[in-house]
Amino acid sequence: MLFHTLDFFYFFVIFFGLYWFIFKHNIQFQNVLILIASYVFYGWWDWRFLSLIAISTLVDFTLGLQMGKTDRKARRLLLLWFSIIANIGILCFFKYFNFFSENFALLLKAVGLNAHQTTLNIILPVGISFYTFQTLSYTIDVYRKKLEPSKNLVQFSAFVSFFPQLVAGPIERASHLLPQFNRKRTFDYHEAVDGSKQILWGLFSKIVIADKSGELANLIFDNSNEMNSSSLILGAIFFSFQIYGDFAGYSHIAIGISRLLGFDLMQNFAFPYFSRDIAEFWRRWHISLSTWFRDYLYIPLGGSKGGLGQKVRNTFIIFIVSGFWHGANWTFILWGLLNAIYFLPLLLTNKNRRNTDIVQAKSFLPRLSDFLKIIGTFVLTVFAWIFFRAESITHAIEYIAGIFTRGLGIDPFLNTTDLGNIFITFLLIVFFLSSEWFGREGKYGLQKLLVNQKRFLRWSYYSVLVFLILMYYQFDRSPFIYFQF
Amino acid sequence: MWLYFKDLISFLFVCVFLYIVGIILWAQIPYSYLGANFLYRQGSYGHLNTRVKEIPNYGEVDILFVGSSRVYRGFDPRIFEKHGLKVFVLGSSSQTPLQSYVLLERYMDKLKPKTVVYDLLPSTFAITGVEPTLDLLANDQIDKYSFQMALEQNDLMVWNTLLYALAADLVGVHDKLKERQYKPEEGDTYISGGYVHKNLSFNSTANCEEDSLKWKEPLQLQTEYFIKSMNFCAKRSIRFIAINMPIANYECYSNNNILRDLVKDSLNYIDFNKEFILSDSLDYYDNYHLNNAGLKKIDSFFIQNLQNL
Repeated sequence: MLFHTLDFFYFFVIFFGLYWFIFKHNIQFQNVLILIASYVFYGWWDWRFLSLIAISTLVDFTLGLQMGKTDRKARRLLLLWFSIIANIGILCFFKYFNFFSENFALLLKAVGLNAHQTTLNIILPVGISFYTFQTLSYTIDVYRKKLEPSKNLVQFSAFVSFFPQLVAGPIERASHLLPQFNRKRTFDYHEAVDGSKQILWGLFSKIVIADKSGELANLIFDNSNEMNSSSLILGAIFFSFQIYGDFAGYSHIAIGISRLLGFDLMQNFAFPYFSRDIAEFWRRWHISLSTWFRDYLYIPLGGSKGGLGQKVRNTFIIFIVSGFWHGANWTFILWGLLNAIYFLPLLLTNKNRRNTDIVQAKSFLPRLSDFLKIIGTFVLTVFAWIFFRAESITHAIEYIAGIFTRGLGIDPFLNTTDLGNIFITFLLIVFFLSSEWFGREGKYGLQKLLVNQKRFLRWSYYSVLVFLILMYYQFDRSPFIYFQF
Repeated sequence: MWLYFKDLISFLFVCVFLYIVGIILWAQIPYSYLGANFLYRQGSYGHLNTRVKEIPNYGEVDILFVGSSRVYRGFDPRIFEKHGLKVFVLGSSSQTPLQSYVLLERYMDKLKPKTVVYDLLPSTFAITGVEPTLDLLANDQIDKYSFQMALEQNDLMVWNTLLYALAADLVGVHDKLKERQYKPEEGDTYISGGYVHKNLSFNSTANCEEDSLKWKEPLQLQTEYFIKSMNFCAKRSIRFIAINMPIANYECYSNNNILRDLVKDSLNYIDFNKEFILSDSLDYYDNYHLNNAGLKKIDSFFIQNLQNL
């Protein structure tokens, strides 16, 4: 079930009514309702894969309880490894089996051995990378004694399968989300209004920005051999806005829905395209995944302690694993590697924590130096996105070669309708970026925008967003890109 | 919570008002329809605007042809007139049974035909018919049937266009267009009686398009509206003849036989593709449309066989 469909609208209206009007006074009933609704939500896509969530839930719940019963470090470590192997094992089988099998066969062939290659027709369960990481955070935190093991299976199951963020995050820490299932939820007017605004901003980001940009990005990437340099550059830029609008849009909707239910989820995007260097970009892009890797991989590996070599090694490991997390393809690994290379100069010069504030807070426009840094960072990001979007490394290299070797100007491959669409999409992106810029002191573009203006002006602005959403809503309901991860 | 719902409902009122204003402004921006869920184009392809405006003064007819562009490009009233028959062609581009029914409801009492000839274009049974609905909304009157079409299709593009058409109708600009009789960019000339003439003489399409080879499941909606149209005529004791107009490269179309179940033994039915042999290249100007030579053959054949139906 997708957030931007009528199916979800009806589903949520019924759920909301039951949650706040029928089960308002009993959190246990509310949790049962969340659990049932979450399984319906996920099963709507493919009910067979509910068993995977159930297995993951039962394994981690049981292991958590067992860890809580002992203080023996060796036993706790054994239980933790069991959890890691079970979760990562499921993830590897469904997501990476064919990748490893194909590459192993290629490797053997390279050294002169013939191997029978086994590939399976495996369907990738939606959101498996997200909920696997979320449950892993639970067992690791219990192992580290940062969190008491949950003794309530319903609560724990609801935490693992919480439908607003089940399939594409934010990847919540158990220590942040799980206790909220044990707390009485009250409907807060201000939270609900702000949550509704965040949903609206998420829908606008997805339906208007991501889907419009995606149409053009697909046209250009799918015909990249025919396109000139200008079109190829535009294609990469449009993809940058497609992936941002798509993923940030999903996160905003997920957070907004949770707020309507009395839950607080972590911020996942903080205006990443206004970053002044790559380190800042990664503090603002997919925050829940970046911090997950920081807390559960980078720091255990030694983090930034130790020698320079260790720092560099850990940085490369984090970025490459992050790339691989996105998909079983060398293009994602190269995308991660490229970001690590971007990051390296900042790390070596100790400037990776230089830009931690809001760019030019309280100012109407950025300083020229900041503006140039933002543009520079954006160019690097767009370049890396080419690898992320390309079908293969060869495709990416040909695409990049095309940018540098073909002509500029209006592309004869594009017809009048395509050119009109490019112009309209460009205007929409300018509108979107302007809103994000003037709202950059909030947690999402709309939160603080026009907040001191009269209500009619604010509502008029929100109506413009509704108008554009309904004007550009696509009937084929393009799914969210990050579902595949 | 009630304060939240109160604010939400108030916002929705403001939003609906501004949405209508937005649609009206949007329609004034050139090319704003590109990629958007809105398409209000008057005087577009097929001369529907002129056709429906001609009806009030046209008078009663012997035969009313109903269908898609195959019909308004396939039956020339001048040929029928020579045989003493007054006909009118009530068609629009890609017209599906839903729009055919609406047009029959709207104009049957003005044209009072003795016979209705209904073209069963197989592919129109498998589509919801957004394109012809938009054509009707922009070029024909706005009434309860406009809402019926919108409800049946429940498509944002249709609703947005209907909203604008309604606003345009209220301020009196909806029916102001004077459509050109001859459109040089399309090579189309409107001939009184609903026919659109094109001066093309040769069909060069030889290969099958991949899409036409795919089987497309007929929609229940369209089947229901076809049956409704038959019943509508039967109630008025109007003779109903179903036809399947000829197409070139017949074997390219996998949906040719979807009409078998619809066409009962009791129904008068002519499948021109089976009754008549035409040249795929010399009698058409594309796979769907007859050229002048093909049209003359088909119209004469139809007139000759009319008594036997």
